[in-house]
Amino acid sequence: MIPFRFIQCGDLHLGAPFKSMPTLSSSMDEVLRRATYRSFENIVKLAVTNRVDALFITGDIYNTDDHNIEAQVFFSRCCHQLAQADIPVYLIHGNHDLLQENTNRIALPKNVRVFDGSGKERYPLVVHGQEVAAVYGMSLSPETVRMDCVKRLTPQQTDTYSIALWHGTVGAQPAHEVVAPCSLEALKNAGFDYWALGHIHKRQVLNEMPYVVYAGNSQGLHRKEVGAKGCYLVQVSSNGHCELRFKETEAVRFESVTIDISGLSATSDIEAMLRHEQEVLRRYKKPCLMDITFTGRGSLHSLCADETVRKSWLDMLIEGEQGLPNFIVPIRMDDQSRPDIDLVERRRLHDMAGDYLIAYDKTAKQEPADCLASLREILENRPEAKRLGAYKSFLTDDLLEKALSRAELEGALKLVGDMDED
Amino acid sequence: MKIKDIYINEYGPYHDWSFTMGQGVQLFYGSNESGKTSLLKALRGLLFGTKGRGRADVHGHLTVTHKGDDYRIGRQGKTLDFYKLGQPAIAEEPSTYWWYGLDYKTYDRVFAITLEDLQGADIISEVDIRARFFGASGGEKLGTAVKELEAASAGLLVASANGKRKINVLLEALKEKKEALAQLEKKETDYLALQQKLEGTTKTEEELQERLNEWQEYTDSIDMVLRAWDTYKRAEEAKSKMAELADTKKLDREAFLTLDAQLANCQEHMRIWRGKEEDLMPDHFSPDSPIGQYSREIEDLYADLSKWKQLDKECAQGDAYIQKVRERLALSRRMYTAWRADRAMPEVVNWIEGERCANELRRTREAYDQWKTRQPQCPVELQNAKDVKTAKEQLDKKVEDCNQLQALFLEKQTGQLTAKRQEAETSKNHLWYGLAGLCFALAIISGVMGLMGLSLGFVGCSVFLAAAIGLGAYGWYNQRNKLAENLGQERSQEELDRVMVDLVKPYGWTLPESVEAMDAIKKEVEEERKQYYSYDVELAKYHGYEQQEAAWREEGRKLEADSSQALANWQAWLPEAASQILMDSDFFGMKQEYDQYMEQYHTLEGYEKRLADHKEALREIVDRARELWTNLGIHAVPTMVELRRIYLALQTFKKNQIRWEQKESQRKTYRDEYDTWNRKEKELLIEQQDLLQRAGIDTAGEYRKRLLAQDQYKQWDTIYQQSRVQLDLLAPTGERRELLYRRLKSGNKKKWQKESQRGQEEIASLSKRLASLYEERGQVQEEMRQIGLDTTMAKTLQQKEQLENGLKQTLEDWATQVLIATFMERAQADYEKDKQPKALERASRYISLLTKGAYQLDTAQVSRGVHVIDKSGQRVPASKWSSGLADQVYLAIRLSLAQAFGEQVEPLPIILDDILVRFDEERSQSALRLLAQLAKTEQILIFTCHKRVLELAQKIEGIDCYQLSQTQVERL
Repeated sequence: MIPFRFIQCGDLHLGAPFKSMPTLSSSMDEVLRRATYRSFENIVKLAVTNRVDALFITGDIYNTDDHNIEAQVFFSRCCHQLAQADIPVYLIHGNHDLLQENTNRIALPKNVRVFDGSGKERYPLVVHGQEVAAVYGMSLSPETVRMDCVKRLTPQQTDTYSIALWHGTVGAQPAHEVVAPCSLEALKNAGFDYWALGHIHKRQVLNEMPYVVYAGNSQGLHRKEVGAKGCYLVQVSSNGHCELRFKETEAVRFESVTIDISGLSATSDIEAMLRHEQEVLRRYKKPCLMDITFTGRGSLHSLCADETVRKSWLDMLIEGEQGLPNFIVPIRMDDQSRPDIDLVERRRLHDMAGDYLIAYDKTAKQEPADCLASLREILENRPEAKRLGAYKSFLTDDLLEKALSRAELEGALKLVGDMDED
Repeated sequence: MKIKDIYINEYGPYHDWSFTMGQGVQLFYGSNESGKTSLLKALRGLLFGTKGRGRADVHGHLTVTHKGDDYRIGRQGKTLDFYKLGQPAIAEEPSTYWWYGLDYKTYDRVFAITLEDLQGADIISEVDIRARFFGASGGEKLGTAVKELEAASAGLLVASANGKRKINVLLEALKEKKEALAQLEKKETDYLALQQKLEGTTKTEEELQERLNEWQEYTDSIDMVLRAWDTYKRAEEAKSKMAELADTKKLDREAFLTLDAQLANCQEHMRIWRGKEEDLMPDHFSPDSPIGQYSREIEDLYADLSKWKQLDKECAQGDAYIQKVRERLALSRRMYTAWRADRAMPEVVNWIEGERCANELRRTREAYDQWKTRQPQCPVELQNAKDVKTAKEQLDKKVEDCNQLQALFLEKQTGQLTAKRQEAETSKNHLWYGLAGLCFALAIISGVMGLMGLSLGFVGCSVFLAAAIGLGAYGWYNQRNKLAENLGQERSQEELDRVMVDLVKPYGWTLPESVEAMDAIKKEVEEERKQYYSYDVELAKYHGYEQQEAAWREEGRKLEADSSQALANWQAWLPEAASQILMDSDFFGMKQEYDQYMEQYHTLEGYEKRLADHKEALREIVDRARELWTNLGIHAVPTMVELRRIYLALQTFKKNQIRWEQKESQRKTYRDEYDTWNRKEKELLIEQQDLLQRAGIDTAGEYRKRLLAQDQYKQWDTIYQQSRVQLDLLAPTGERRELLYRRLKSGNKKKWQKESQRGQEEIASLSKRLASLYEERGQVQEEMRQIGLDTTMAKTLQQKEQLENGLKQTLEDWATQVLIATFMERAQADYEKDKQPKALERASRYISLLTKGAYQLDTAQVSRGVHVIDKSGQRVPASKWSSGLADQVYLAIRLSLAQAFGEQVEPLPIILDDILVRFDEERSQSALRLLAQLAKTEQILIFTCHKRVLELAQKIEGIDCYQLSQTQVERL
């Protein structure tokens, strides 16, 4: 068998805006807006410089619901670059760019092989005029997006090396929408040598021999998708062994930063810590977005809890980064710090704060589902809630939990604050 | 807190007014306008300030005791002067500082009660009241906190559709973004449509390009044909020429050419020697010149030159003279009167006969003229006889007509009698027809009988039918003849009538119908005749005259005939050229003119004859000259000048001849040389002839031609080979070469030129289309590029995401606040479960006290409205209360609430403004007692204008009564 190499990437989500982003400045916004493009450009560059024999894209190239023509044209342009470098592209459609019949798409060059929804298609991967592997794949369509139809893919006995492209959820993947679910066992038994998977944004190698690989997304899209993002450069040796090398391609990096306020006594301490964290992230030499969380218990809690103060810190950090190409800016400051008061103790005192906490507990200590239901009921019964319309869906469980958590402390503090001063 | 002193510097009627509170209930009695309400308002103003509409500023201060310490609450209008005695000023309002933001309205409703404020029990369920009056320790903050939270959440989101709060604004902005995105989505469709269009243009371009290439190829191949055309045609021409010139005969080129060269050499030498010989000859001299040959004739002619000259002159002069004479003769001829100018004068005229005819004509004319003079004259008496004779002749005619008329009349009479007879005969014919009809009737009867079966019937029928036919035919024949006769008679009758009419018409008679009429006519005629019997003598004389005249006339006729005969003879004699109107008297004039003419004519003839002789002589000389000219080869009219020139030439010739004869020896040498070469030439020609014979060719020219043809063949062959090489270069390979040759063979150059032009046109047209297609594609691509680079969509998506993020965060804040508020309310509600019943029970107790046990408060169902229970346990709703009972219930509730606040926070002064007016005496007493009791813990002030209340109060211990009059206070 002739050794060959390829790049596996997926979930490019070209042109998709970052989630849960505050407005920064127009130049920074532009950098963020183009991040998905830059990331894919890096992949293309990587493919060209490493002279790979194929590029596999495992779905979710762009979000069709966005109807973002710029993204589609950009993708087509990149494919043309690959065509010039004589690199074939094999791709499938994922749940965000479902294969829909009777829908025109942007024309792609001839080096791009798009798998249909049948799972029966097989394309040879030819290197130096010789077939080194057979590539199989199946695009997701509205009909198959919830189905386990991985069995439709079957390699041929004669294939020297078989690669399958698949977009879906393998096994249990928390915090991800379940799409085309299947089990790892099914993939292992399918007879392919390499499963190139898409959909899960966190890169992971589920199995070796055969390889079952999620390359993750090429660019983090929200504050939870922290760290390096990119693609896998895979070298297949003559005995079928694969050497997977992760290549970082993200153009903007998300990072999570935690600041413990315990022991801090002055505002300047917090500001210094924030600046320190900024400097630490500069080592990545690319724009970074920080998700900052204040934790710990201390006298500065009241500052951290004050949204206006947090906003001023946020603005201060952003302002300091204006004009820098590799800006390090916070996108959120979450306060999880605690004041000096002991809420458990407080519950035992028979004052209004104590009574408030007891009333709070009556709701919060229910079964989580019941708790969320009662919280939702409280909010939705508010007359002004009807103004939200479709955005009621924004009152997610997360949000409710967060609000509930905030309510405990903030409510108690409202009743107790002055008393402490006394 | 308790008020110790009041000082009012300025408020309403109060000026620099002060009062020190005593212990127990402080009751102020005063009539209307004594300053009670102003004092009440001043107290409230000093405690809570005068912020708010319609509240007059108060200037003054209170000295109060709070938790054992004395404080001063001073107000100068809006300015607060609040401090602990001996301590620095406190910036906060006392209500905020001590009573957790208790506002003056709540204070008014619970502590400073007028009769109007007293009404209603809703106060119990108000959050603010509940939090302050029934809350747990610190619960007084709850109201403030809940309020703040409500305000904060309302600051984020409001139910109003027009609300402009943070979330509302975000929702609006998101809605706009969504709409913008929906609009931008269309760009995708636009782009795909353009992409499809682009694909279409690519396909069209391919087609056009293919066609263009085909045409280009075709045009190139045609151009190749055109390029090759001349070469090919040259090759073809060479080929055909070669075919023409192909000659297999071998010729001895060298020998022939050598001979040819030698011959040429000989001829050259011959030419040279001949030239030399000729050079000896003087200029313009030829020994064989005709001028030399005809020298004698020239000289002879030259000798006659003077004669020629003379003759020529005379001839010219003669012609002119004759012409003149002719003209004169013609002039005189035109002047002749007897002869016509247009006819030739006769040569010979018989003048004797002419004279005779003239004499005859004169004689007869004279006789005739004489006869005319002899005409007889009619006598005068017989002048009327002529008229009578005419009238008698007319009468004779009339008589004759009358007789004829009578004869005709008689004839007519006879004709009419015959007609009557014929009519009688016609009736006989009718008899024949009757018989025939009878026979026919019988025949029918017989026929009927035959039909009835009688055999004789048919026979009879046949017989009778035949008889009927026979009789009928006879009758018809007879009648027909008669009719013919009648017709003839009728016709002659008509003729008679017509003649008779003609006879009677000139005389005015009527056509006689009877014999009498006829006789009348006859008689009229006879009468007329009798009138002419007297004219008979005159008529006889007249007859004699008539006979004499007749004899004269006869003679005249004879003379006239003679004269005519004589004239005819004369005219017959007149020559044709003479005027035909000439008469006998013109005879001698005519003859004279003739003789005169003839004399002149004969003279002219003589001249002409002589001139003719001269001309003949001249002609002879000219003929000689012409002949000489011909011999000399001169093509010119023979003239004397020419003759003189020739003669001079002859003289020159003679001189040259003499010179020529002098160079004879030299000439001979040249001639010998010439002859030598000539001989050599002849030998060579014989040799050449041999060569020609060997080759079977007749002439040297032919041989040369053949040689030339062979040369040409070689040249054409070279041309052919070169052309083939060129053609091979143009189309070296098989298929193209074949196509090229096929095309070269077929068609003509014009056709291929036309094809080439057509190809060029097609190419131009296709190129044009391609250019416009490229332009169109460029536009499409540009549009696609514009759409493809348009970042609006992505930016809008990003902005939407940012807005949604903002919305989520704000929603989190909102949810947090709502939840806190909710939990607080729930905590409050839980607490109220313990605290509120106590306050209500106290209120119930007070009601029982005030109503002497008649009513109690229904504390169990306060949330559903305030009810009282009477002694019988009956629930009495507020709507059924008397006004007094209502005042007592509400007072009890407020007193209880005030106490609860005192327990919860701090007791505050209770000010009651004439609230006992609707209480009966007993209940008023009870109320005053209750208040006196409460005054142990609370500070209570009562204002009243009712003496009764004052009197009741004065009886109760623990109530200090004061008289208030024009702001003056007096202890009673």
